Amino acid sequence: MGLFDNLFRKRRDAFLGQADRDWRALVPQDVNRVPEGEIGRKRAVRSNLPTFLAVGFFVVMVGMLWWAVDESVTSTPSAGLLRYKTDGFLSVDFVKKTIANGPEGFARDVRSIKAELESDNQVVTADVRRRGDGTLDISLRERLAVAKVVIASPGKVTPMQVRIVASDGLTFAGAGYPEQAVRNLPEIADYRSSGSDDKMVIDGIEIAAPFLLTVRTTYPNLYKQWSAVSLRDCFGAQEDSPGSNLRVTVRPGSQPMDRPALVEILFSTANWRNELALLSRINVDDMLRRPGTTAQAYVLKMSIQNRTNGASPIPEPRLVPLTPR
Amino acid sequence: MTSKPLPSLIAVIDVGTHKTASLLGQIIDGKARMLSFSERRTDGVVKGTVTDLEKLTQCVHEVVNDIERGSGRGVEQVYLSLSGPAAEGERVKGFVAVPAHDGKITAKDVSEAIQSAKRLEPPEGRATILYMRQPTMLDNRPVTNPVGMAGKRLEVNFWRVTMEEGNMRMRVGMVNGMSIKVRDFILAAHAAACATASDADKQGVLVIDIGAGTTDWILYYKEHILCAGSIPVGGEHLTNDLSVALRISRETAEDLKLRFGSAMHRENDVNQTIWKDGDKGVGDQQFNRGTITQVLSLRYQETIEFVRKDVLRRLEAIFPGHAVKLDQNMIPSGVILTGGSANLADAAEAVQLVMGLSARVGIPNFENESLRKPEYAGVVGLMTAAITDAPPPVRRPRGFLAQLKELFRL
Repeated sequence: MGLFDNLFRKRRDAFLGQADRDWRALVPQDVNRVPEGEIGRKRAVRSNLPTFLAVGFFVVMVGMLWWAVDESVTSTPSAGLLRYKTDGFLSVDFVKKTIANGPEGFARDVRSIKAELESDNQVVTADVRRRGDGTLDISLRERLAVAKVVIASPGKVTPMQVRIVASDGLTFAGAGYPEQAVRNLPEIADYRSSGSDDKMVIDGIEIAAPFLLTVRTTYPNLYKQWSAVSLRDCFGAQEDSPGSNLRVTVRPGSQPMDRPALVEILFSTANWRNELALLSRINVDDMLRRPGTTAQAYVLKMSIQNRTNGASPIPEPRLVPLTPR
Repeated sequence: MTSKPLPSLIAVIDVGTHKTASLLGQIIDGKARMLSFSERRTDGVVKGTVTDLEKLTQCVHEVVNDIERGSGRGVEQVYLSLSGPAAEGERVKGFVAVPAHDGKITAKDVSEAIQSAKRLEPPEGRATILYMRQPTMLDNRPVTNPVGMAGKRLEVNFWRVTMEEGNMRMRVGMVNGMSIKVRDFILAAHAAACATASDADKQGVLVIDIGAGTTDWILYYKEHILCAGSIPVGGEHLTNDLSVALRISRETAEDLKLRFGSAMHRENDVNQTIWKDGDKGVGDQQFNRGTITQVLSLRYQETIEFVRKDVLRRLEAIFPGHAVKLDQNMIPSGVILTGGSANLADAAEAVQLVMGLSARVGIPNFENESLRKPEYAGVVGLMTAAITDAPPPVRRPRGFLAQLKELFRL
């Protein structure tokens, strides 16, 4: 029977005369009530058992799924309606604090959250998205730390402040960095700077930072042995200036005791790439054990150029006994 | 019958005076495949009338439990058999004067005629259980499908079965008490006919279902039901008569009836002596077989005579003023006997003698060998009738537009 027939057909009593005495009309079958008798009840239970089992199974499955999802959510560094991911060390608290800076809280515009996150020198880019269910999905890419600087802050609670130097020369506070990670970073020494905090500019860092980044990524074994890079003789923009060099201090603990110690390595600011390549090939240990190396500590000068063959100069590493300054 | 399409699982319950049988079948390609069968002795029914509802409910619930356990499937709705004096039948007719100027009959005319027939109220206190189609007459000519034919007066006839309202409520409530719905009632005699008579037989056949407490009959003519009825006499009366005549217990009488009984009394039966147990030991009794067959044949033939008179009475009510005769012309396929008492020896011969018509014992046509017995014609027939009487499956229109058109009947 079509929809119109159902809606607009003539009334049954008008069409069929007095309500017909059909048994179906007289006895509306009510089978939902509790079955009569023990056999009837047992039958009802038995016939409903597969349904109960199926519902139970479904409930258990949903519960397990819920629990599993819940676990996965809590194991990620997020809280509330926040999913957070980073490739560095910034904690979820930092992100929450940034979000909470606005009056709207989690309802804040994602672009303003992104801008605020990226205003921190530690953050390179911030990917901020809002999902359909209101969850904020934040993914950070942090700057790669290559060194640290220790700044004297007279008058402050902590007189010495450590800042992290990124591969592009910017410095940041290093929020969330483990102490061990900070300790292992080589220190930028003998620098001249202007500005403070995130606005801090270090003279010569535009040379030192790429240098340290290259060492860290290409020569990680060398990088591990260095404790400081001095910019005392680094003249910044005049990198081709004769005598402009990067003085690297080698960790004393990384060397054997049965030979003279290598204390410093000097790289020229103009040719450090070739010098690094050369350093990775030469055996410094052999050089220090040669007869005639009688001093207690040496400086390896990578920046001395061989100009005897008339061609373009090539670096000629030379061990020089350390002289007290 | 209900207009809903047939479900894939069909459960039927045949509540008789002596036994309650239930069958669960799965419908595959329009045929029933038996999944489970159960049979239990009925308690609380005497001569087709419920005397103890609690016992009967217990019995019905047990057979339903049996078929559910046997098949591992849940039963949600059942077809119930309808037999005995509780079910009364009568002929109702409705007609329309064909309104079209060219006299052509439309489906709407047929529908109106049907509605006019169904508008007739049943007797006070009775509920309509089912309508069974009888021949449609167009200007007093029987037609199968009058749509498109020309005429002036269209008449549709039904055999309407009614039941006392309280009785009906009791039966439905009994089934509902198990959280099962009654899908429909099926006349027991019609069910027996569906199991044992072919379409060719239904050109003219009288099916007599002799149960324990009642004898139901149904007469088919030109593939339609002409009339049906029931008399409150059955196999238990044979047992009772034998018990009284031989002064033995009903159990012994039942045993003798089954082993030595016959619906025909022959002269040489008098010369036969039979033993109750057969070991001729202490407690064994001897009887004259002639006495047994005489008692049984008299009652059996009397029962058949009652049926004959009931058929004639009904026919005379349907065709008043006409001389009605039960002969080979009217009933070419003769009589088909079903029910437990059809197993009595020479039953067909006795019917032939009383009715003057050819007679045979009907074996239900069913895939399962164990149910191919006259006493199971009722339960098997319920399944067959449920399938054959169901409306053809509705073919759903395909495609969105077609479904939309179907919804709004555009």
